[in-house]
Amino acid sequence: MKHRHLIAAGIAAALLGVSACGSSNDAPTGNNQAASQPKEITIWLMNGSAPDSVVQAVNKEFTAKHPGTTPKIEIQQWDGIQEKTTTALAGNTPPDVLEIGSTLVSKFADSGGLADLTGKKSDLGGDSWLKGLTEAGTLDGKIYGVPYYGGVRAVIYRTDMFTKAGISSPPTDLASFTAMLDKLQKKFGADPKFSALYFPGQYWYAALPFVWDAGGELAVQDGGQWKGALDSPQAQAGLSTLKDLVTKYSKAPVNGNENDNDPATPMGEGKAGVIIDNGWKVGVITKAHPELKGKVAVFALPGKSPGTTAPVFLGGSNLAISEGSKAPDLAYDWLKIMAGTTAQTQLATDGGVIPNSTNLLNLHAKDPILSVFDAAAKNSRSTPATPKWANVESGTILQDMLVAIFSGKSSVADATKTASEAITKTLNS
Amino acid sequence: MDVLDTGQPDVDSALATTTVGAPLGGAPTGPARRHRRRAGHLLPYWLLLPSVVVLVGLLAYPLFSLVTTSFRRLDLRQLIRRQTIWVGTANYRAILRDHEFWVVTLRTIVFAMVCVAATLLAGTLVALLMRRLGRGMRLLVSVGMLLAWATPTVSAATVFKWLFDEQYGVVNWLVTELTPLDWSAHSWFDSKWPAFFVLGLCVVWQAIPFVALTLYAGLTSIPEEIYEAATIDGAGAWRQFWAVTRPLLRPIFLILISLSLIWDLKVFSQLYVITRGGPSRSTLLLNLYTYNLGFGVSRFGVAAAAAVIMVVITFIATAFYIRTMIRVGEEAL
Repeated sequence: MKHRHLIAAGIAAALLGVSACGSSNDAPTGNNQAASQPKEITIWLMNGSAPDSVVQAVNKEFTAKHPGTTPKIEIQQWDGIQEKTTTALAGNTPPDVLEIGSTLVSKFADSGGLADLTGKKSDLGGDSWLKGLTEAGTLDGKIYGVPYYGGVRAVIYRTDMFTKAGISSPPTDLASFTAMLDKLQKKFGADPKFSALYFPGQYWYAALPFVWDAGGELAVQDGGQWKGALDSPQAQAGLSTLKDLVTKYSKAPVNGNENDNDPATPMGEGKAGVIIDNGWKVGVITKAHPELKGKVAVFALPGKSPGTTAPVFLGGSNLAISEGSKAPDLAYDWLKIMAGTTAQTQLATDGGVIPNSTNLLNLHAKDPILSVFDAAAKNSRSTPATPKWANVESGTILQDMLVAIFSGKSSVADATKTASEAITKTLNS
Repeated sequence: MDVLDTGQPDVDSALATTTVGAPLGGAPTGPARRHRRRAGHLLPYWLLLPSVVVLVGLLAYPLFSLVTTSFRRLDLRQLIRRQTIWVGTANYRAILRDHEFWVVTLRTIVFAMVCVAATLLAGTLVALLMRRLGRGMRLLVSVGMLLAWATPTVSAATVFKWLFDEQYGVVNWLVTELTPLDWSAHSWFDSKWPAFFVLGLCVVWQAIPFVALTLYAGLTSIPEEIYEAATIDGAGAWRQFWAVTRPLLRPIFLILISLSLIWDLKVFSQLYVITRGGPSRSTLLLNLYTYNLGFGVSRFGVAAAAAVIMVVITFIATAFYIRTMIRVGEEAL
């Protein structure tokens, strides 16, 4: 009798097999779990986020716990990542764990593509998470993205070039920042390709500090409605300041972006006086030009008033588990190891990024470069907290505005008005 | 045809009796021979089957899916949760109300027409040149063109982007070296027209080989005597082309124009690589506009509606040529 039941069940299973492919949410039960434990889980990490050493250590710890499962790491490029993530989450076999840029988490959470991890917060040590990244990973009070690492931009320069130009100490306000650029321009400006400040026109992450420092905002929320705010007098003033700097000191392509026209390249070649970039770019420069080791230094972007620094954009990433993951428990175990103290300590030391926990912020205290970035992170901001913000990014609204301003095609007033209207429309659509 | 047609009824009626009378198939030689005739009769359809299957799979189904999607609300949420929400013609109304859609559509049509004209002109000139060239040079030109044609579009576009790079591009370097102008930091992509120029150049460059080689193949079919006669009648080069070559190659020209128009209306890869619609959306063409709606802001239903409209536009733009082409084809028979 038992056998007959089994056979009947087998036939039923075979008949249902085809349709079962479509619905994958049925949780495996009982003894089946061990048998159906996947041989592999897929993890998407972004290019440049975690050094190999960290990933290998995490994988080693994971396979020690789950000998039957191999974590498969797939490195993704930032360029076009929204499209790729969309396609992957909509497919039948999405990656189990994904690194998602902090400003994009709410978009994918809102669509139902990411698993709700609210219940796991204390298990993951969520009380000490960085505030900005926690907010970025939260939507309507629920956590979908676990803080992974943070990154801010600061001013990167070469000490050998500063010495030649006769600059003894980093500037302390915007006026002395401009004076510093003048000195660089005077010393190296004979080269027509030299930029005292190398600033590709679409580089909106680096433009935000100028808006915020002048008291401007990207968008403001008013009674449940969002309103683009780049046309405020403050934001316009900040962008005018930046326009003056860019048109006077930058030879970078006005219609270029920071990926195609990586500021680290001219910096290494001596064609850039200063650049505004992430901490890990220091390593990019010295890797391409080993002779510059020890000659690349940083300071926080100064603000308008003396002694202040401009608020910078807190970038970084969160880790999420896809709602369609076939092995959410295994995915969670991998994520927990990566978000845990050991891996985060190594990530901060080897990778030079800001770790996800305030408990670990002292790791860089003795590092003259990384400590600057950590300090800058204390005065950091993020983009408006709405799932629609990602559409502002993919709609290239800010990039279009900056290009229009820097190229002189539009006045600051007209360009910011157009952008603000587009942001209002996008955030409320 | 006539012979076959008159023979047909006999075969069919014979077959009918055979199948009814001897369902299990028989040894007699008569029916077996007729069976072969029947297999021969169906053979063309069997041979067509694989391509029909491929066409249905690759063309009909996606088109069907596109049209149904255009009547659905399909944002990221619906896509990931696999929800089907029908919204009637709302997507079409949203598209047609969008001012930018009309600007982009007009721009796309003008861009395609300019590219087609440039391609046809350059392609014809190359084909005429090849006719005059010696064997060795002709081979060299053919191979060169095949290489240009065989280059993957994305690679070609990337190369063009680098050629015209404002700092490291060879074009700016050449201009600076060879002329008194200092273009060492001249930007090709900061304003609309230079950006369109580079884009168009890339599109045309890769479209010339097909046009030139096809026209050259056509040219070789025109007997030399006709040109000799024309020369004796006192016709110059231009007159010979206009009065002899053009009318004789008219069917080929029509096919090339309609194919080029279809290709240039749906330019995407080059645009995506070279300008991505910038600066400030001024080089945005219909295909990229649709892509941005779909993958950019995740409004796949609206994007599908835009794509359907684009199919219709392409169809209208080429219908005239297809009609003429068919008529020319009938005349030729």
